[in-house]
Amino acid sequence: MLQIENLSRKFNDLLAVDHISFQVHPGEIFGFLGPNGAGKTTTINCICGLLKPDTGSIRIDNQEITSAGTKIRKKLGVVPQEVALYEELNAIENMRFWGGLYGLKGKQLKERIGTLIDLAGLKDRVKDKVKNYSSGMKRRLNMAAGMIHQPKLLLLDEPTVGIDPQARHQMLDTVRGIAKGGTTILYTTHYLDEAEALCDRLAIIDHGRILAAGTQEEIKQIVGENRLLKVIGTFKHEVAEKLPAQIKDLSLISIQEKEVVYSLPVKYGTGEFLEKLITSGFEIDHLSIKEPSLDSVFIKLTGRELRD
Amino acid sequence: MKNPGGFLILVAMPLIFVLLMGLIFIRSESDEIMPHVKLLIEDHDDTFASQFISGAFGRGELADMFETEQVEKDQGRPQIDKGKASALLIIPAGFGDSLLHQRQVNLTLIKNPSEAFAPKIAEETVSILAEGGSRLIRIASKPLKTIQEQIDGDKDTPEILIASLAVQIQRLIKKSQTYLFPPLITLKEKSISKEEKSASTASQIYTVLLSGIVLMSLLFILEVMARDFFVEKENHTLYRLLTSPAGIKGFVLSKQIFLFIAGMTALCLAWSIGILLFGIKIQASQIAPFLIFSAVIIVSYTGIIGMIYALVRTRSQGQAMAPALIIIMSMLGGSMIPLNSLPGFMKKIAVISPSYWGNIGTQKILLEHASLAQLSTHLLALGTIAVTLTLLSFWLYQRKFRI
Repeated sequence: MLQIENLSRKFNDLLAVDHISFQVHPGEIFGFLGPNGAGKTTTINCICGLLKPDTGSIRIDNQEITSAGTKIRKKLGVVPQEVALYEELNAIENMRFWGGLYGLKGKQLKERIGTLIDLAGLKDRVKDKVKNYSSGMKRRLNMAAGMIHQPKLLLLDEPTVGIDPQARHQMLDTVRGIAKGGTTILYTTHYLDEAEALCDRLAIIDHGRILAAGTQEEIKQIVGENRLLKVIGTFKHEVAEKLPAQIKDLSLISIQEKEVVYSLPVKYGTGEFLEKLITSGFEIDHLSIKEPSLDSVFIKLTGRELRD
Repeated sequence: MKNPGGFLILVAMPLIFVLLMGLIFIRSESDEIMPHVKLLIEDHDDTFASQFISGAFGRGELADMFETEQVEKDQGRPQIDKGKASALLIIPAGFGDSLLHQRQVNLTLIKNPSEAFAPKIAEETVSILAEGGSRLIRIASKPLKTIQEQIDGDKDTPEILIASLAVQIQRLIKKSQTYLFPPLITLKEKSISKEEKSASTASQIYTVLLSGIVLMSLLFILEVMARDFFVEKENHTLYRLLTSPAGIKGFVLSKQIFLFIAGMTALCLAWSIGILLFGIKIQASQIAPFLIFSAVIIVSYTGIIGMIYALVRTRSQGQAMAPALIIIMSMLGGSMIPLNSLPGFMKKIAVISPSYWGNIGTQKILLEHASLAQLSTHLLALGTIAVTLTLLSFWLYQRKFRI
């Protein structure tokens, strides 16, 4: 459905997207996981034609977006990070306006609005002005507006930013519902749990580069059957660096002034590790143990947690 | 339109403004407030010539302005010194005789220094009379000489000579009346009643006022509407609009069309209410040229406003820059001050203002019943502005709204 080859985009001296390539297959939810500023939105803007890439190609449904123009836009639905609705209009008026832009009218438009209002769970509030909605309701209507024309590919750019956990849960259900209907989804997020809960496949992006891509299982293989041990406290760096030599299969992932991260296979217990830390003179303020997960993959790949 | 109430208020503002200005101008016109000049006349000559001069102040419109009083010799000056009159006109002895012999003669006017305008009016009027009189005497020198000979001689004047002189003088007056007297406006004015004259003048004044003020207000209305370019961006709806099949071109074009429709609606509303409210008369045959010409003005205005908002980076910049430019354009275009009252250098540069072409053209259509063909220069100027700025703003918007 979506093929991106060698895509890059620079803003002055900042290389926001650095020669990335990935594919999104029809009917899947593809996660684009990375911290703020990783290059996710820049990639989305290139896909929907608002930014001209410096290099590379973007193909949607086997058509190059630069040459296809309006035809491609009709296949593409975009749900921007910010709520993009007319606050003085109600839900139906908004949907009617956005539907009209895609050439929908009459019975077809009316039916489509009805379906999406149901999907967004706004049936009881359709006649209220959008400005009176909660942020969760606005987000759901925002998503519905992006789907009014039944796009083949839906780009969701961090659709759950700034909403409460309950509304977020509802939103994820809505996305699953859309995917079940056969729409291909490219879902950008910096929430690991969302990516884990939703995505069939995903790519981890940081500083404009894709660090890993594949199914969740494939990506977790990067850390293998290892757990990550993160120690925060006071210690001598040379001691911390020599520790892997003293414990079998222990490897150093990253080290900072008061923080060090090790990787240790799950088959080994953490008792010996803790004992070694204490005997080596570590003054431990905090110790965290992460089982193999996307988070531990991200830490292994970047040396820091995603929320950093 | 999200806020029709606001739009109607914007349309009402120029009408209120025109009403207030109209009340000021038309009231002073109908009230016929004339300056009052008290003029003392010392006639030391007491001939037909001196009586012609002193009598002139008691005829026609001068009679409304001047209150004359004949005073005895040396009686005028004390009254002026006491401030009881605006000026004293002294007609010297031998005035009539000197005129008939075409010798130079001086009239003396003593002005009251404590008054500002009235003595000046007296001075101007006397100088006009003296000028007119001198010319009349030069033109009619031949018959006047004959009259003088008859006066100097002892014989009775034959009737045939009197008839001949009368015919000569009549011919002279006929030939020179174009130069000596104003054109035949007086006759026209006499043919209509005072009420009709007042209504017609009021209609013309309101037409001139409304033409200028509506054009200025249109720019302000369009400016307010054009802020939508940035409102869409601030509300993030622009993002969704640009990713839709409409794209950037569709978005900018739809906004320009919206501005045009809003502008035409505002213009038609303002003029319709103006016609009802101020009794402005527009000939049926002029409605089509007026609407076509107005449409061209509005396209040029949407181009200007579109250009301003394409150039600025933020809405606040636009809100600061646009009104300043509108005021300059309107000032040069005669919307705020009549064009003939502008200083010379401003008159010269007024042609750069689209409001100038719009205002003058509208007035020509409505007051002089000009056809569109007669306004080809105006249409060309406005059309050039419209096409150039619209295309340029399209190009700038495409650059601007690429994220």
